[in-house]
Amino acid sequence: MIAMTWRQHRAQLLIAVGVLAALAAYLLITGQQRASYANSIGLTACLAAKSQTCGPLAEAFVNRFGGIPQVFTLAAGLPLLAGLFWGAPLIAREVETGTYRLAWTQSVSRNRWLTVKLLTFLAAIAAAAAALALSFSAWLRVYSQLSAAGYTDIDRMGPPAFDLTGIAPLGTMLFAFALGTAAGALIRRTVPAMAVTLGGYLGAVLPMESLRYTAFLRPLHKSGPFSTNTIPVPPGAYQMNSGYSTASGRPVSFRDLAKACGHPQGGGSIGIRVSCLAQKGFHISQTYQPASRYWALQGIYTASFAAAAIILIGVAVWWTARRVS
Amino acid sequence: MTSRDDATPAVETVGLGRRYGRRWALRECNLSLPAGHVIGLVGPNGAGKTTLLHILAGLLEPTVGLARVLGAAPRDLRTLPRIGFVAQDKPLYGRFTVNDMLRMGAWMNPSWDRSSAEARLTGLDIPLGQRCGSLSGGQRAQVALAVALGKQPGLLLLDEPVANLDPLARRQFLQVLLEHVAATGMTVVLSSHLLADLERACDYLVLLSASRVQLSATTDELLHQHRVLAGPAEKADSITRAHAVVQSSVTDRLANLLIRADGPIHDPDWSVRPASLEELVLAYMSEPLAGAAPALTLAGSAQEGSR
Amino acid sequence: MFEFQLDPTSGVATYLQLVQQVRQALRMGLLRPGDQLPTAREVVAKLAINPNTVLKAYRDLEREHLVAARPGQGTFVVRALDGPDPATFARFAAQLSRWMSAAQAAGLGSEDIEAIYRMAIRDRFAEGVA
Repeated sequence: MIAMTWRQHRAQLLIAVGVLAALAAYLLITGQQRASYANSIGLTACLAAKSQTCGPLAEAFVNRFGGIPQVFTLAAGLPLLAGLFWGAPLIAREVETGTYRLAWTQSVSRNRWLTVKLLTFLAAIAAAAAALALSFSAWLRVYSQLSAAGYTDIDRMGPPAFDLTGIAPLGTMLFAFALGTAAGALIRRTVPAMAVTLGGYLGAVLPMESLRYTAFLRPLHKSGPFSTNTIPVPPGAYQMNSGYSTASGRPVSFRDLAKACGHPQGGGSIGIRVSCLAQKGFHISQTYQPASRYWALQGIYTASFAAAAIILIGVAVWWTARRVS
Repeated sequence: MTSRDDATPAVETVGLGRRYGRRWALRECNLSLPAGHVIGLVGPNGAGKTTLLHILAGLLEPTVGLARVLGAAPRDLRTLPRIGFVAQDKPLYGRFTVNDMLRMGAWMNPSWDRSSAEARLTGLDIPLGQRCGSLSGGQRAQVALAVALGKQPGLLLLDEPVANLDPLARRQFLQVLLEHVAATGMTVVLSSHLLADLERACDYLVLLSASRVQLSATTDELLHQHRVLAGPAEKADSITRAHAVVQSSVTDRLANLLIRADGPIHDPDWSVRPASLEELVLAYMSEPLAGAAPALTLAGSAQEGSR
Repeated sequence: MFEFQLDPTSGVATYLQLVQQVRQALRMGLLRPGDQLPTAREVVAKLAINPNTVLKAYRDLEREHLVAARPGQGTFVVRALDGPDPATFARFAAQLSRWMSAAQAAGLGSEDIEAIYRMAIRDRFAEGVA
């Protein structure tokens, strides 16, 4: 049955290998470019020595390479492909084309047939997720070092890096695959199942992009008076909302600040003097998730999707065994 | 030839029925089909033939009643290797080559006879390297049959196997099938909506009409028992009283009756001749008994009727 | 090897056709004692008929002691047909010829003659009809 699964799905699996290999190659090459540049200008050594004066080098690096390219947000959608092209057709295609009448009348039980296929794809997903996470983490290395020293807020805590590193890709890929498989089992037609998978995936993953910072672990707050220029949020943290409060901690809005310290400027706009705000004891506060929580957040994120995946797989297996005319 | 006295019927159904929404595709189906025969399942389209075959093949669950194939439930793990099935339109994996299909058989069945299947297909000039998607209708049928026969089943179920085949392909299909039956004693159930396709191959007939079993008997018994009578209309009643009339057409002078004879007919006013299978089947199909009378069920280990 | 043919339009049951062909072959000397008949498998592979039909025909022939099945080897012809001798044949052939001339003279065509002949055969030799 394993040989049969390979023969039947080898095109799908090989295409994925090709795409991932190309992607990994791209990431490794461009990551290496960044790393060698950082080395050559002495940035790496500077950061390693924990010097406080790496700023100009950091700036040179960012000027040269920028941040995370916009297109990487698309890469964060790669797990969806596991749902569209591996999950949705798995059962739906067999039913649609009628080949289930051939596959299920050999000597292999329906459960074994499905289980072997699921395990095969699960193994492929694990490998793909690992390849993706490792290549992307490698690419991100210089940025991670910069972020740890406080020179940038581009790091693995924020999107899309959070989605592409650690165990997050495993969770979302499993979820997408399971969703596709269940949709295919229930709907029994590939294209509608793909549509449902797309909708369901986005409907689950998009809200999680913000929920993972607000709802998994209670965010931390730090506030400081306006006398300093920046809030000493620890380096590498994922910054969320900023807000204002009085010295005693009562939250105030921007209008309150304007009322307290505003003065009209030409052209109808209002300027606010920072020295006035500092004098009156106003504070700025920052909500954030510290970098130390990366693995905890990854764990909760992945576990949620994995749990949903298990339920969906269960639905698919149960439905296939009991129904399907 | 292997023994025919196998006590276990190849197929047994008790009160089998399957409903889709409000419509019953199959109802009150009671069958006891003996092993070692080539059983024709005939009936008009929509009569429930495919539904019955799918239940026997384990692809469909009945709504009521139960089915046994070779003595066990269709989806039982012991049964799966012993049943072969070729669905209508002979599904194959389009991107697999013929050779891949044979390998599939070996991968998915514990006992698999590759050499016979290969020899047969090569003998029919079907190239092993050709993709299944580009085979002709007759070639698809042969490949599907080869895959089903390769697992050496004790019971082979075929859904409309020769519909849409040209006469040569139809002949070749039946030749391969029946040669295998002759060599192994395998039981076959094959369905068709045209009796002519099956007549020369079958020695047992099951007629499904209006979702019910109307007939289930060996062809010998059917031919032995049924007569076509032609005679004077005024004497029609005497025949009707003495025998079961399946179909009658009576004008004011002439009566034509197809009867299930309950004893010989001595009255010289009647011309008597044996009914052909085709006449028989057409008669039963056009007068479905709709459960009013017991369906004719005759066979070695059969029940007395459908009740 | 002796080969069977099948005429699906003749109205004669398949197994009877097989029996008749063996007898005809015996009558004409195409089959002699000791010759082997094709196996059921071979017949079926060529004619695409039910194997039981072949077995039934061979059983009938066995009952008439024309053939015998030897386990593991096949079915063999054991004796020639007990037919009428050539003189009897010739006598009846002549009778028929005279009858046919008379029929033709009375205005019957070949189709009429064939119809009379077929009805007579059916009435006299048909099996199992009450």
